[in-house]
Amino acid sequence: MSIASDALVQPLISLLKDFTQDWDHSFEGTMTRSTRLFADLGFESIDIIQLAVAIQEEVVKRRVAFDKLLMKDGRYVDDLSIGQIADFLAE
Amino acid sequence: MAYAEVRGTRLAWQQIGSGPDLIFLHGVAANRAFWFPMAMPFAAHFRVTLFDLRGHGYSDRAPSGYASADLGRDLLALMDALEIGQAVAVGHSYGGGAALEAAALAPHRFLRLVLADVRVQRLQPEMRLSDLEARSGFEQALVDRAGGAEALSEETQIGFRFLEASARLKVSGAAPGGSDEFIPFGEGSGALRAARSWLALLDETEARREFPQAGATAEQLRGVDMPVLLLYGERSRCWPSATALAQLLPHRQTRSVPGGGHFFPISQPAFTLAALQEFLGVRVSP
Repeated sequence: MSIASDALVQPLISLLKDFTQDWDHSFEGTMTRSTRLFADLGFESIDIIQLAVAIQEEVVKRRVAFDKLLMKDGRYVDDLSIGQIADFLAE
Repeated sequence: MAYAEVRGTRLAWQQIGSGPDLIFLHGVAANRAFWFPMAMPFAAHFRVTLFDLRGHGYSDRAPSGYASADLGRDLLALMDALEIGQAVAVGHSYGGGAALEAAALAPHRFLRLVLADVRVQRLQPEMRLSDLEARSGFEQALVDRAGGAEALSEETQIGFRFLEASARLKVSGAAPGGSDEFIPFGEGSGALRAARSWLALLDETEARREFPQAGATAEQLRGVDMPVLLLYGERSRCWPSATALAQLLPHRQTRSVPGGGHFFPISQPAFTLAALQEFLGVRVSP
């Protein structure tokens, strides 16, 4: 949990607010580093892929090897927290 | 965001990697997440394009244009928009049908084609409950809910019927019961929005009427002259299509996925990856 990672949390939260605002069951609480995409925000697998595209274009402005974050042993990870994404991007 | 205006609608797409073009097409009721895990390793050798068919994923829900021939034209138009002259296309189920239609319209634009468990409406126009040799526990649960086999005896598109029933159950919050190697909309905590989106497509667009429409004729299919891999699950219900295609396509090879059903890219990923590597002539690390 580096400073670089902490600095990414707010931009990610802003992006996620935009990203989920039209969804039927929007997240009621306050998003933090520990907010999970699937369990808390109602993500489905297509959404993390689309989010990855959005992060590349709007947050980090570069291509990222997201498969290493999204996949484990050829399958999707069970869930991801905002902090895990920030840590990954800060590496 | 990566969107392309294609034939009057907006398609969501993304690309990873560099090299010759390799395009993956998902089937109906799915989205580009279906192939993503399988597609990623190929980014070391190819420029991999993934996109959502019209009415699916993050693409717009156009009012019409869902026949396989229409989706084939979408693919060609997307290739134009992304300046992809020639590509290898890998399509599952209805997405493979779209790839086949595109290849029939413009064979010179496809270097190779992988048809994964594709039912071709022209060659296999009906799939009835009575055609299914064995039902999974999940399918049997859907049949029971529909009022038994008798109630479904007139259904000529049983695969679509199962997908719809599965989505309606998901949206209603009921547990379907039964098990299967892959349950549509059943991933993790469940793809509730994907299920809603699929029902909206059936209820609010021409898709239900257009999906069963036949595309290229047998004569046109003979002109699909690039190497084609017919990859079908051992337990698939789409073998009549594979058998008919094998007689029409000049350069095809057929492989059966041991133990595989219709959704073998998900249930048998290792075999699928190996078969794709062999056909595409590359070695990738998963």
